[in-house]
Amino acid sequence: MINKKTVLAASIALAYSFPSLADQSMRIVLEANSNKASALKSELLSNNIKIEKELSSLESFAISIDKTQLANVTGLTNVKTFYPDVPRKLMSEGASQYIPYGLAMVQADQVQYQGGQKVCVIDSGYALEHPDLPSAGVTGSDDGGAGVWYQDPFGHGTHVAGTIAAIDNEFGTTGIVDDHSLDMHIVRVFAGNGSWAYASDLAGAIDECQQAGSTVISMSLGGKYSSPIEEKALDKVARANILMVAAAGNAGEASHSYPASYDSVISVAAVDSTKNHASFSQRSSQIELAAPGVNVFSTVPVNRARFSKFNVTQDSVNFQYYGMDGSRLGTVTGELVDCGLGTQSCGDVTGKICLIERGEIPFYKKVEQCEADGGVGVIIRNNNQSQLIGTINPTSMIAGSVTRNEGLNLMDNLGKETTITVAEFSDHDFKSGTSMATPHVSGVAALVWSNYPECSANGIRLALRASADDQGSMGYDHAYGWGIVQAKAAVDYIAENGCKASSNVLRGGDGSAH
Amino acid sequence: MKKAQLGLLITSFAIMGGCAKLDAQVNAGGTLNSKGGAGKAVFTAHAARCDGEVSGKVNYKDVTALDWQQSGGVSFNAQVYGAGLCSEDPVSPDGAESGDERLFCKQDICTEGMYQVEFNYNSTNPSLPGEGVGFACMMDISEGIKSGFGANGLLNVMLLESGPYQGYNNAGTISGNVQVKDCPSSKNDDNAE
Repeated sequence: MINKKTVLAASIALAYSFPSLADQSMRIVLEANSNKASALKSELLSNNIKIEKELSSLESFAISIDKTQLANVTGLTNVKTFYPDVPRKLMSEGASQYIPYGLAMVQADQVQYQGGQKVCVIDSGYALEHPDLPSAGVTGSDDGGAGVWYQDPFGHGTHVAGTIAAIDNEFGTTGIVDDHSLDMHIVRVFAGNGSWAYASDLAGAIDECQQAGSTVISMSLGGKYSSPIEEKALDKVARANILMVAAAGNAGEASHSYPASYDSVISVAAVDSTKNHASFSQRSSQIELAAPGVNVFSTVPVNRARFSKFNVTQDSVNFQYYGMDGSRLGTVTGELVDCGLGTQSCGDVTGKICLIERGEIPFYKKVEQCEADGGVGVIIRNNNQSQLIGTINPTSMIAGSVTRNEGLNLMDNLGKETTITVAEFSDHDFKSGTSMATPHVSGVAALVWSNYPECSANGIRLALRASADDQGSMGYDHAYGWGIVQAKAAVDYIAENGCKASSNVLRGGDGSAH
Repeated sequence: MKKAQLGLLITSFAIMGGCAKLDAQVNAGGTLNSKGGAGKAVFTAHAARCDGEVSGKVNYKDVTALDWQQSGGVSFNAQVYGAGLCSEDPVSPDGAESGDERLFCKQDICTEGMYQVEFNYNSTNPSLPGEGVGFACMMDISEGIKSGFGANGLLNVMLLESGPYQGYNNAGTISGNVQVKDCPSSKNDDNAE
């Protein structure tokens, strides 16, 4: 006769034989013998076993145990049956959380937010109902004609806000301050179609930010015409110790964009996941900092996103792009191998991930070739600057694409253990632009300033300049400005040098304007 | 023969899809943002299209233009060969010849209310000598248009299409003046020869 205790112990022990479970707590459902629920509960409590859920009507309990409690569980006498408490997840979203590549690039993962800041986002609104965005601590201005602040039909403002503050909750994405603790104020100036609404001009919107007590103002917007009156309004706000950040523009040429090119505003250029200057990012003498702005993964209004999303991780590499339509959802890990264009066998690649260049044959043939060779996943690397959203026949393989620059980066990292994931995200998507780079700088500014609240806005601004990760030409240049913004380096810079600064409006960019 | 003539007419109309040019004069002068650079561009334009006669000059200097800075920047004098105030109406094909740019503004670029000038320029930068053609569209915003700009002129676009500065383009708010006014004896474009 099978000893029930033995069976229970053996089953749990079997579960713990999987290395991934050995050091983690495990949830188990215990069904009590008939009318013995109360007795079983007493047993659990006396053995200090954590009851996660009590299902009285079913005479059952969900408990969490770890390996050290195994002996306690085997002594239970009132258990009828038991089984793992399997997870359930939202069906509208993948079970994954992708960490956007930009967070590590700007060192946001190395600095703790200390509170006391408020970032004002002047944009197309905010999807307040989004499950991956904070709601507490988020306020907004009254409808000035563009629509209510807590909706965002256009989707741009929601994406920007997500880069700053998306919540770390094991699904979707995370932002620079990811624990609900950053206050934000939303001013909607764009109507549902993204067109500018003149109920309040930009100076008025900034005034609303100031009235709301904002410390940082994030403006992912701009135009080619300057305005002396507007510039004066922004100078006034700058002297009120508020830091302003704006997008450099996406025209891909050397030209100014306003408000970014006013001295009182930090002008932000865009780089991609390999730190290359984005081809669309405008250059000018007012460019001050650079930040990730290509294929930035962030929140969009619920159910707005299409296509599965692909994540590649490898040592310090973290790329996100689109999954192949037809790819299996899930994650695989394996050694990365170069399989050229995938037009012929890559040899025995059992358990490996094929890196295949776009071109010559359809994507599905590349994937099928890799599968035939024993591969477990495929990364298609683009061969030009265009977007790549490919379609393959439904497959058990994990397959997705990376940009040209990312592909070249991976070619320098062959042979390394690589993890690839494809997951569905209907509420998160990629966007590119200096609009996406701007909230990285705004978020980092708030992060750094929270650690040194005694600093002035100018002091923080100068620290961000001095500590930026220099790219392009040595020192300042018109593409990257002073470099890619760095949160940890800025904090360290202030710790070492302090943050004294003039209260006058600083010269923007390279400091030489006018 | 009739079919051929009809075809020519349709083709001509399709080519001339811009706004009709009207007789008017413009006097513009001031500074605006450099093309990406740290300094200011200086722009003056005096042009007229009156009774079918076109005249005028353009002067421009942008020494800190980012992509030309190392060669001394952009600097030229120019003679105007085309000018006019862009109306809201398309050009009537009556009497117009195929490809006749004299009577219409550049479609979707110089639009209603802008003043368009076309010019032949001569570089005054000894490091970048040569000649070329270009055009500019500007707008007088001092007559009650509530822009809040605090300035009264816009250079909507200036593009140099050939010559040593081919590809240079700039736009911005002019800190100065753009004044558009009627000719001494204005005449409707419909009656132009």
